[in-house]
Amino acid sequence: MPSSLKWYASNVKATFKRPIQDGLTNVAMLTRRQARRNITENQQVDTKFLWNTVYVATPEKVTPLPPDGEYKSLKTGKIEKRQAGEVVQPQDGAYVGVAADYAIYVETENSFLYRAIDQVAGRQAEDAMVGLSTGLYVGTEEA
Amino acid sequence: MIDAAKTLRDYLLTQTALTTLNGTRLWAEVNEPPEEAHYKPTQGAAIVFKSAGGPGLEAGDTVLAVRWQFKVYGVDVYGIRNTYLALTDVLHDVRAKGGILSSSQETPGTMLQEPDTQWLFCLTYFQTRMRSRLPIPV
Repeated sequence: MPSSLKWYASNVKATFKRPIQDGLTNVAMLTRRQARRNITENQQVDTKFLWNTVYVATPEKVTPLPPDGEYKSLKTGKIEKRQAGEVVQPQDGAYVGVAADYAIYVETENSFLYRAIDQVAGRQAEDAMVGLSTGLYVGTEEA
Repeated sequence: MIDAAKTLRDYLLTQTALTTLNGTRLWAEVNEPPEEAHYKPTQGAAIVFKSAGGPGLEAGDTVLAVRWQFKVYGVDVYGIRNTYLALTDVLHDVRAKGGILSSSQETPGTMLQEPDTQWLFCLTYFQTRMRSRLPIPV
């Protein structure tokens, strides 16, 4: 029987960091996809700027965002100015955000983002966990 | 099934620390004060709230958890903030009162401005848990 156990904490952290990050990114991407689906189902698409500015930010990258500028309204046919706010990248994990500066008003009228979180946490939780466990499995193999 | 919005409104209307500020200008399940109320911020504080998510009920669940979106209006920033603070005082950490089993503030208030009317308002979110059914009379 060993009299002591050497715990390679830094090795364990290093091994699990990547798969956990990948799992969180998977969940964030599922939430982004569901939020976009909700915007469409809620009939909140006009210039499509809002839809296109639902993003996922990780420590390494941010999903592509459209440029600020003038966009044609599908509802009125008029040209509307659209602007995105600041995008913040996390140090760990993943953020789901909406960069359009008017997104909060659309969200308060008929939730598309929080509802997406509910939906992913409920109906799609199984998918999300598959992503997470797959990531952990890869980590275990590497170890 | 209980009417969660009515239960919450009834509870808030019993809270004099709040109603001394907004009176009965408290509307449920709307995004802004209803037109027929002819509300204007110069009249004083007003609150609208509506359900904004929650896990829903699954088979066997007897507790209904609801997330609520609140918008607090008022004459100016200070009035709005006072009403928001009073709302938080009476709705955060409620335990077994007025049909509410428990409650908590989820998101602290953020001051915003309505794009159409330019009215200032404070946006905040709470969660409540209530029994999903009224007791059966015996």
